Amino acid sequence: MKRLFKSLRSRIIFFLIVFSIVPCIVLHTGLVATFESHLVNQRLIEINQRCHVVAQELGKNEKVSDSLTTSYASVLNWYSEAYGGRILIIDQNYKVVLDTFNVDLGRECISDAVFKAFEGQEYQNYDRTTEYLEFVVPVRSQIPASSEQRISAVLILSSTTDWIMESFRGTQRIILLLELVILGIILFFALYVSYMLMQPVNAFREQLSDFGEGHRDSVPAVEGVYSELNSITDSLRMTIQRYQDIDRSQEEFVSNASHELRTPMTSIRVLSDSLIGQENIPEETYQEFLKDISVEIDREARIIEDLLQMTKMGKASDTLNIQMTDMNEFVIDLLKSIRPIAASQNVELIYESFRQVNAEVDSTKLNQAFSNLVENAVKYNKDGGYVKVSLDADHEYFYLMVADNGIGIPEEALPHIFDRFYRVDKARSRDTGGTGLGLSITRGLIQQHHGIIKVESEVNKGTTFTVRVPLKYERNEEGSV
Amino acid sequence: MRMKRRFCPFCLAVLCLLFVFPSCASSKNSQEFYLYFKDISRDSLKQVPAEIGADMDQASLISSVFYSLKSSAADSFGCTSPIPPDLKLLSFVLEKNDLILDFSQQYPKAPSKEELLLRASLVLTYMQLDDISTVEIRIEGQPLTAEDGTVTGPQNAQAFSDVIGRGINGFSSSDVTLYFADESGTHLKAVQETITYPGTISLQQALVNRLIQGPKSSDEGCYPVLPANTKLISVSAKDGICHVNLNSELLNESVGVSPQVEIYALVNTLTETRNVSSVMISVNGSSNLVFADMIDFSSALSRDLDLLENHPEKTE
Repeated sequence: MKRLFKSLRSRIIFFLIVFSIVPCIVLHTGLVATFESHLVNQRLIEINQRCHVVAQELGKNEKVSDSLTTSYASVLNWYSEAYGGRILIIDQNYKVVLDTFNVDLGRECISDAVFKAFEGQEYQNYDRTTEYLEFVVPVRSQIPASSEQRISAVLILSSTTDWIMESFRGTQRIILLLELVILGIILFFALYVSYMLMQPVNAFREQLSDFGEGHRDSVPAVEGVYSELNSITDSLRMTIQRYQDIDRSQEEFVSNASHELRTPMTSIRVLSDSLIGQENIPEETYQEFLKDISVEIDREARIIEDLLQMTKMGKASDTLNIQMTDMNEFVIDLLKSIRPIAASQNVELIYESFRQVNAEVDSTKLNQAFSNLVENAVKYNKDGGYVKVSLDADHEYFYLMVADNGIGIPEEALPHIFDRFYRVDKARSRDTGGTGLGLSITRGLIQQHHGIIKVESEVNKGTTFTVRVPLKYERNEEGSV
Repeated sequence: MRMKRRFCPFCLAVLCLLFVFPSCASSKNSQEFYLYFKDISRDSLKQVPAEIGADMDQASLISSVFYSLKSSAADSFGCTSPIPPDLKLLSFVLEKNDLILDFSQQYPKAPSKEELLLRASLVLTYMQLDDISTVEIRIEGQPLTAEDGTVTGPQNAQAFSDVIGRGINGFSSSDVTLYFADESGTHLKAVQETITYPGTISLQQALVNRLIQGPKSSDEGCYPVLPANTKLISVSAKDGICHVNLNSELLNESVGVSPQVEIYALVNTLTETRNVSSVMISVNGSSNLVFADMIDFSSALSRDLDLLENHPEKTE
């Protein structure tokens, strides 16, 4: 049953029905409620008037029995039949002087309402259970030789209202029947309309299911019926595109990686083949070739190392060891280890710090990232050049800049430098032992800290890398794609 | 039996004790007896059950009743005494089943509701005793006279119209004879019953409805005469003829009795009432039909006792 209600179509049907039936019921209840009271009230007013007219007539004589001529008594009999009830007249001795039922004539009447009527209090009541209207009206007559009136009798009249209830019930029956008919029509209508509305959604669903199972290759689309569906289709397309792109880039990566890995192997092959193929090779030549093979093996190892790191960074299991770190000390340590290399290349290392900076970072990883940047700055520099590292911060981020006045990066290459295996000058970087993965690893590490890295460069003028990292590390739950 | 007694106040206490209000316990020789008190919440009378011992002599009984009515023990029932506190019962005489109560001057003036309630309470209460068939009130030996000179003589319970009813019309009750069908469906069976019906409907209407309702389980050997869904549209009595208008359900032959039994059950029952000697039946207002090709409705029908079974049974 729950499953049924989860369906959109069921809900549409349900609400269509409810919102058609509810007004019906409201109307019905309202009608029915006012119907009965309206009719009863009308009757009440009419009979009330009648009672007062009769009371006046009876009050014309001092003694009510004088007013009750045979002709008037038969008029009253007629009224009682017409109203489907009973008329009683009680005189001042509490005796019944008229009874259209002929049952209590001559008896003394003991009734609370009658006593009250003799004190001037009128009474009218609608008794729903017995279906009768009851009226008790005092009869006032003139006291002879005076302008005052006294109550000489009490008139009791009852009238049936069962006809009201009958017609009321009859009407109710008709209304119920109509409601049932409406319900039937609504049901039919609801089923049809909900089906029509759901058609595009069902078509889309089918297409999507086909696509999901691989029966079709193109992204499902439902032509412009519902804007909601259209936007779903667009988002779906973008998502699929994104995954396809990722797929493609992974394919590219694998092919690039295998190419890179093959290169050192080829050199080793060549070197070892030439050793195997020749006879009587002098020992110096062996030594030389073996040294070269060793270098190639190291290169291969580095490539594999970097590859592994790249894949590790992509996994969600790669966690950062975040500690509060004094960034100034961090940079100083970092530069300490690079100083020898810089010195050997005759490149000057400058450190500029603007303020005390403490940040939540994984110092090992950031070390790797920044070392890479500084090493590159030293590597791709000219003789006598400099590398300036500056550290600054505001209340949210810290900024690390690595600027050099080296050979620079050409404009067309700038967008690609962070791509895997991208090298501006293949020859040069091979000599310096680059793997082509350095900057992409750096960027990855910085992104893990939710930071960003930017580059500006001009050929033969120099390059500046700017890194911005949040001071506080925010842990989020999702893995990144 | 002629008894005259001067009333001694100091016998009072003793006699009061003999007349107790019942608690939950049942009494061995109790008959149904009610004291009529004045209802506190409105100006009418209220019945309060009481027990009388069967071994009391008449005079003591009459005194006890009076003093019980005067007591305030009924307050817990939502009642108060209809007897003014300063009123004295000077004496009473039981003369050939006529009880005469002689009161002091403090008796309320007639006509007034206090007087009426007091008198009705006394009459209705005393009428329940076996030996009493009327009750008369006198004031210091003089008959009770109203303001306009009318004298109130001996009265029985029938002198008052519905005393315990609710609303203004309350209930009426009558002893009537009902005619139902016997087992064969070809003869009528008479049953005596006391029916109670709202004061807003006439006796004839109550009778027709009662016949439609059918015999009670206590009516042995009686079977319904009219279809259960028959509805009485109207009934009126004039000049001895009772006009009964029923709905068309009457024409359904679902009852399983002969047409004569069906119709004459109705006719016989109604003609038993005062003022009705014949009955005119119509269906949905029209009398122009012959019921089951046997009984012509266009003329008034008188009662037919030939259809009766041999012995009418007494129930109640």
